[in-house]
Amino acid sequence: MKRYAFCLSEKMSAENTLKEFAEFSKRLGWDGLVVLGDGSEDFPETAGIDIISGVLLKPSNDSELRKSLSKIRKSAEIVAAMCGFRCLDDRVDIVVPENPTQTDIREMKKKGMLFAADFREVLLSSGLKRVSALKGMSDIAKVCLKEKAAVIPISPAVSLRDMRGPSILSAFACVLGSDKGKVNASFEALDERAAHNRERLSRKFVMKGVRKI
Amino acid sequence: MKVMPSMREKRRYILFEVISDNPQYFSDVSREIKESCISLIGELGTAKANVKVMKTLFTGRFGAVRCSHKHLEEVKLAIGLVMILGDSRASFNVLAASGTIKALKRRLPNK
Repeated sequence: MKRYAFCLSEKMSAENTLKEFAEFSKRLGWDGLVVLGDGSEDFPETAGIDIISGVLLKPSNDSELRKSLSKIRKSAEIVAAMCGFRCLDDRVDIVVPENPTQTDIREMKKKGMLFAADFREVLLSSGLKRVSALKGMSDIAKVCLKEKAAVIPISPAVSLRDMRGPSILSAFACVLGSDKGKVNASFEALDERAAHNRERLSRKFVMKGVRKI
Repeated sequence: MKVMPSMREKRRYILFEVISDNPQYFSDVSREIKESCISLIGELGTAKANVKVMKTLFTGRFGAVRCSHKHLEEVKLAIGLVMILGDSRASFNVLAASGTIKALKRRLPNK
């Protein structure tokens, strides 16, 4: 099972390069790094860890999401979406939901999506904002637990100082209401999803279980 | 106050690494961790968690926090939420958690 850290590619600069992000992720204990950018870049293995290209979408409605996905899905290995509406497109891998209902979560879970809890939102807030962020996330985690949906803690880092190790993110998920077994299962689900997408994007893929030789 | 051994709560020791450009003092690290615990779980929660940063195990880069076994995950999260140490930006990485100091020392990375 590989555990992946997240970072935003648009924030990479001369001060925080991809190599530095990769080395720091390895130092913190991650097995891979998901770079959320435009999804078109192909990253080589750096600093001994696997690097995956991903996209973070923030659509305002369903049609905008579908339009973006039709272009992006051909190149990105992981697609994450921050949706304020019910996202039923199974081309999305990770959903960061905003105020979902129990029915929304049930329907999205049927499509095989993973629900993400954004640790960075808690890290950068304080006082009442942190309280409301934690309350919202713990309510979502409670419903996901009831619906047996996977909740994966992520922290899309903007700089090296924002990155945290898997132990802290697991503790975050446990505090929200999950347990260690389910957190490991969610990391495993993300790993399987990334592997499946990578295989699907390779030229040898025909359909699930069938490859060209 | 001394408590009977049967009533004493179980403890856990959390090994952490300080990631910072400047060397850090124990007083700053201890204060920031306790303030982060108070901010996250409140004064009553911190008292119940029985959080103590171990001075004897602090080396400048690595350190250990003792807490109650029931509040282990909350204390780990509080350690992860620290962003500033003294005047500079810093972060913590939790390396291991153990029931004894001896086992924790074995988990220290070789220098």
